[in-house]
Amino acid sequence: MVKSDIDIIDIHAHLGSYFQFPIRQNEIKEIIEIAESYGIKKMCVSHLIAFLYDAKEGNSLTLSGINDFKKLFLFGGVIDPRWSETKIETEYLNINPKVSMWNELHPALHQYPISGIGYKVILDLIKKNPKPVLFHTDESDQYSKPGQIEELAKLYPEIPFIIGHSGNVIGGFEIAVEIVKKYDNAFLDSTFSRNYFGLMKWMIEEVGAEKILFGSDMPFLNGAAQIGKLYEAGVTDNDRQKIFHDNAAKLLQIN
Amino acid sequence: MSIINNELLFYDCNAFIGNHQNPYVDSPFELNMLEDTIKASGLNGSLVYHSASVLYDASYGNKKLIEETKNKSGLHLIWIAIPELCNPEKEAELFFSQIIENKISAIKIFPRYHNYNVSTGAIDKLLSFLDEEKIPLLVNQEEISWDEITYILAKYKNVPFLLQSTGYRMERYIISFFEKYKNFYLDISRYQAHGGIEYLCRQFGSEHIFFGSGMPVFSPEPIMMMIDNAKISLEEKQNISSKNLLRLIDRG
Repeated sequence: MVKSDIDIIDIHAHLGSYFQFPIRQNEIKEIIEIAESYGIKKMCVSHLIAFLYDAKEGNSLTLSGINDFKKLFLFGGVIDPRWSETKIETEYLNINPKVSMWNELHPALHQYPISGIGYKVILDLIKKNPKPVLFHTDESDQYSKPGQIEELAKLYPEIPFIIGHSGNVIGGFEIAVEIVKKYDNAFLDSTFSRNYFGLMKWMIEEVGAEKILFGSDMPFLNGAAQIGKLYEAGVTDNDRQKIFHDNAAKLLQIN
Repeated sequence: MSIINNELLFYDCNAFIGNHQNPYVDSPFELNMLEDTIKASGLNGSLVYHSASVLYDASYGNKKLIEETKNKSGLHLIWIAIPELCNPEKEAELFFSQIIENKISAIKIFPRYHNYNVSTGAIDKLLSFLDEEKIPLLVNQEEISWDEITYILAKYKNVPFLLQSTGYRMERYIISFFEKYKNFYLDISRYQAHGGIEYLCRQFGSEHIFFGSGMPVFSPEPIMMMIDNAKISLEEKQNISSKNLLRLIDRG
């Protein structure tokens, strides 16, 4: 086994289970062992139950799960846009001091559009103490069209928006790239299960390596495969240093 | 730069040349582009078909593949089959003799794209031939129903059946095939499940799992890295990366 020679910061990872297929090796200790073997030094996680059943319970499970392993894990907070304004504010105030980034706001699983008022309520709170916000996007899903991030990037210039899965499908990638080119506070996420040949090279050429962040989406996806796409021909050592580490270190203020 | 373990040889079971729909790579994906990618990625060889056989006409594309790969090493040829090449008897005999004569390593079918259903018996003569000759049959998962797969596996137990491009969410569908049929094999080009390889190896052994890239639509490096970093033995990795495929296509 050969691992990356760069200290990797993973901005897109989770804990927990999923209802559509079994997730193997998802115990905290297994994830730690796997992350270490890949050279991942920091990993921002949120619990899948936060998207599937109860965001408050998910935040609580994430915090208790990572409590003993703070050297590796960062806390990704989740808020459900369908909640009342009061409930959103209460949960925000409760978890915000511990949150490293909002990882992730999930329109598809919460079945709530990015343009919905609930997300405006959440972002109005986040902008007071801006931290990166990872939005799940997928051009093939009615709730999470990446194009809707543009309005948010314009409305909230103080918040760094990471376009989760970079739009996820052909057509969506192009929309995400255009937004990232246009807004300083918009970034691409390297996490996607369809590893199109030449896609990473094209993204780097279009937006520059400094606007792309590495995500594994473990334990949903295989982290090694997500790392592997950055070793395609045309991706340089310098690109990898930025995508695997430097860009996230800057956004998350990690030394 | 490659950081792949040099103790592993990689033979790709899932690649093609010709026109394609990946906007991030020039189309057509010519043979020299495949060869360059094989070299750059650290692959050692590949099974390959011509997309003209799928997108236009099977006979035209199969012939084009022979012409374009003449005198090339490291490549093993796949022909595409359609019902008209397998029926009636006279046509079938000619097609099957050409498969042998041209040393075709595997046959691939596209029942959905080519508009037929395997369970109706449309390619039964082909399946009997493959069963007798033990020539692998390749199918992309989105091109065939689970019932059609069952039809093939239950009736033609000597056909090495390699299911390709199966998504990472499909474990609950494929497990029963591993359990019931010794001639079921899986290409992991799209099976990027966390802990997926480890689980399949533990439950069913490494002999039924194959490295595939999906080139030129998908990239080889993610799958190479996934195999290389799996928590399995070196022997299991070697089986998956190359040995299983070479064993399957070796007909002496």
